[in-house]
Amino acid sequence: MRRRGAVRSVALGAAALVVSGLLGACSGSDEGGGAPKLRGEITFGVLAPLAGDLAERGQDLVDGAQLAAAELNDQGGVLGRQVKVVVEDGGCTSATGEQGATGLAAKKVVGMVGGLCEDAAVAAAKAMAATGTPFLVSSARADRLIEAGVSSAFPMEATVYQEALAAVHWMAYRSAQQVAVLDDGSPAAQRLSGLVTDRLKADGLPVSRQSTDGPDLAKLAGTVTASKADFVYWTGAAEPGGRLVSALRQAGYTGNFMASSESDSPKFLQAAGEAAEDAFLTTAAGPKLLPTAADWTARFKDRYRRDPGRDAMQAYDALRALAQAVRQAGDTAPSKVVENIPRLEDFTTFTGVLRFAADHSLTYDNYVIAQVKGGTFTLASKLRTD
Amino acid sequence: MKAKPLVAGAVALAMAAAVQLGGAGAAFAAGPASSPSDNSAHGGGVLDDVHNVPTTAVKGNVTFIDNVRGVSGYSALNFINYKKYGYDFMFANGTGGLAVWSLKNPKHPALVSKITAAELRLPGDTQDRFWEGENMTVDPKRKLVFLTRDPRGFGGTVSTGQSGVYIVDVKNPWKPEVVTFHPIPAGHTATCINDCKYLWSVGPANTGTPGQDPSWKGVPVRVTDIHDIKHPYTFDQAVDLGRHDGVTDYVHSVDVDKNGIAWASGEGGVRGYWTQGRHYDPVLKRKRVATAYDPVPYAGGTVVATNPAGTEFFDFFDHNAYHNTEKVRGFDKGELLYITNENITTCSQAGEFKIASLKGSYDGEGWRSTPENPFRLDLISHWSPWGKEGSATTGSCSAHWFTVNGNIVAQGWYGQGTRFIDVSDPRNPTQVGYFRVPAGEGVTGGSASAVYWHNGLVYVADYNRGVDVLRFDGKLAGKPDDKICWNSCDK
Repeated sequence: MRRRGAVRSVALGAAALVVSGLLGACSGSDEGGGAPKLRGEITFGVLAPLAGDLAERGQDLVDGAQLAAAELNDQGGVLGRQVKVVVEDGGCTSATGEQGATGLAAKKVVGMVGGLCEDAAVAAAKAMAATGTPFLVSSARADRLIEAGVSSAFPMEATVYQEALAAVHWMAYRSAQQVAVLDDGSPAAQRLSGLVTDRLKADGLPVSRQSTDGPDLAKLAGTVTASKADFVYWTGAAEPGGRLVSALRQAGYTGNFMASSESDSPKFLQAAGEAAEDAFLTTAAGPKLLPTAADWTARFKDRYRRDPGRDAMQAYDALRALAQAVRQAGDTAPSKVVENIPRLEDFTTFTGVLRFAADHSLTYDNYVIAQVKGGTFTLASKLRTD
Repeated sequence: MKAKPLVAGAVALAMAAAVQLGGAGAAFAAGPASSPSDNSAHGGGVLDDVHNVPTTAVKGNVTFIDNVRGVSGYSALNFINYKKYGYDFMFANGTGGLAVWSLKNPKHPALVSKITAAELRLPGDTQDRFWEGENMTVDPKRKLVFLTRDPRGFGGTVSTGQSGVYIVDVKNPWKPEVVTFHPIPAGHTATCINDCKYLWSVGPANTGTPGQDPSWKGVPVRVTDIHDIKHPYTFDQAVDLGRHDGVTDYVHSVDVDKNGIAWASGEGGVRGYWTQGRHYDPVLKRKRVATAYDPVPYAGGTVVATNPAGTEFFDFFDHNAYHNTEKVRGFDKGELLYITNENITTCSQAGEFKIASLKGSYDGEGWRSTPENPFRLDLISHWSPWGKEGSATTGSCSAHWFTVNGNIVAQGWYGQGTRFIDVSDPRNPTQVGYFRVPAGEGVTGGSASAVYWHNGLVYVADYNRGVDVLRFDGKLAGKPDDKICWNSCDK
């Protein structure tokens, strides 16, 4: 029986050791050509939902972290010590997140990565705050984590505000002259549409904003077309987003159409049909979109016999970042590791330089622009200049 | 105007300095609360500073008041008013980093804080040498200072160095804090655009740094969104391309006029852009919305070379410019452009101050100019200190940065010092004051980078001396400006 939110310990450290040992045997060494001689262990924790609806994503996250650990060990470990990964099921609720974090703390982890659901991640971050154990939150959305203000927690996802920035910047690249921002009335969609509208107004761009929770998208499309908008941004759900772009094209709209990350779904493509072609999307970068992740994807596939998801990529980067912070600190003391996380040197993720602002939000976020080409999402722009 | 005899002038200067520095000197001690430079009631004290009295100064119609050193010599200054304190603070950047002075007593700036070059070092840097921060820009509302890092700073080169901007929070001027260093593929100077919601970073001359098109001869304008300084974003698309008869070249300076038009100066001329509002685009031949990242051309171009010797690069190197939005003599309102043509060569042929007319450039002519069919602005006049009263005959003598008050241009000329030029008759610029500091025993020789009118006084950013505080004793021609433009002059 799969129990959603169940907390269970998974002893993966030994497996990681075996795997990394095999990889190490294939690599060179500074001393005598054998495997790197690693003395002692550094244990990193991984927090992920391992049961329930998100178990598959949770396992993806764990696999990404394990791959990072194996590769770190292959390269000589961290501070000359073997990287060991221990996993706790953090589930998706505040209670399970706190339990998972407590479990990892009991294993004396140097730091932890993971966190997929916001409730669980925030609770886990707060639970770790007392010890100051660094927590690189790899998959949960950043907004509430930043609001929580936990000094040892660093979200590696962007905020809603940063998705708004991505949308506005892409409109700039497309030389938008008149923008229509539409949402489906849900709080999340309204928040994003409000942020985008405010920023466009601040730049003096003509913009209209409209909420629609009704089915009459044809009427809405007619209104937008009559307004002479040349850029439409939809922040609502995927399926109505697909129907909206279809209705707009039927109404004769020839301008740009872009949807938010909510529409990063087959439902959008199915509902839009041929009208989806050339539509843009603000979405968080994943391995399928990023050419820079191609080699890594191949390594992941070779190890796990499947394609990696976003959670794996994020956890892989998070564990590497944590290891880099330990290296720079030259120590495993939590305060020293935390101190080094905002100033990682020569460290890049698959999207670019990893830096954190004073509030621990990503200085340079991981939102990219996707575009539908031939019925699939492709990368239009990384929106990064670093 | 008559130059004061050097000896008498030196004595007078020494005496004046002795008297006036008494005020500044008192600030160094833990004096009473009424001490002119004691800012403890406002949040902090003052730091030790050095005052170099220019007993060798050659001057006319100018009184030396004080000199402050801070952390080094400087390429630029800027000023921010703090309502809560009731006075201004002065910010300077140079090789030594950032220095901050209280202007509670504007005649005697009191050093209150600094960020040294060592504190600005980034991983991989090999020297503690900030470079260079000309045309320093600030956000007076959010209390931010932007230190523009040239790739040649900190031991780097144009092709290996890291360019970008340090964003410094100076809400508490006694405790400036670097919010972030943001890398930008440009970084000789930078200017706030649209009330400092965007930053235009420009230069330097050579490409070779990552992110540059190999066909570019210099770095054009890079636009950075700084609405939110925690998350600065630099656009991949550059602005002001094809500026030198169709070739993309070095933009050296951006100066925003009182109407909000951003004037980009550099190799190939000076071209103005609307960055807000809906305007007719004379290049695209249609009305459209102007933004900082997609500005609408307004007018501009370059003028014919005035150096008879001719130098390939410097002939058309319009270093910085000021668009006078007012009517002057017989010229239309907004017709005149004041330009520094920098040319580092012998003093007799060094770069000059030029005045050009924008007439005939409002229909995109400056954007269609080619080597075969070059467009040039009408040159109204040009001026240099060569042969003028108080001038040197050797050394570095080119025109450099200036500010304008009424019809008096106050300009830095490297070794030629500070020059006050009356442009009431734009066809006949006339020197009405000067201040030059030759090196002497105990006197640091001057190299004036930029001169700033400020609340009745004149502050000189000097590459060698730090900051000289002067008073122009001549008659101010024209209507005094309510607001002096120090690089960005949005309404």
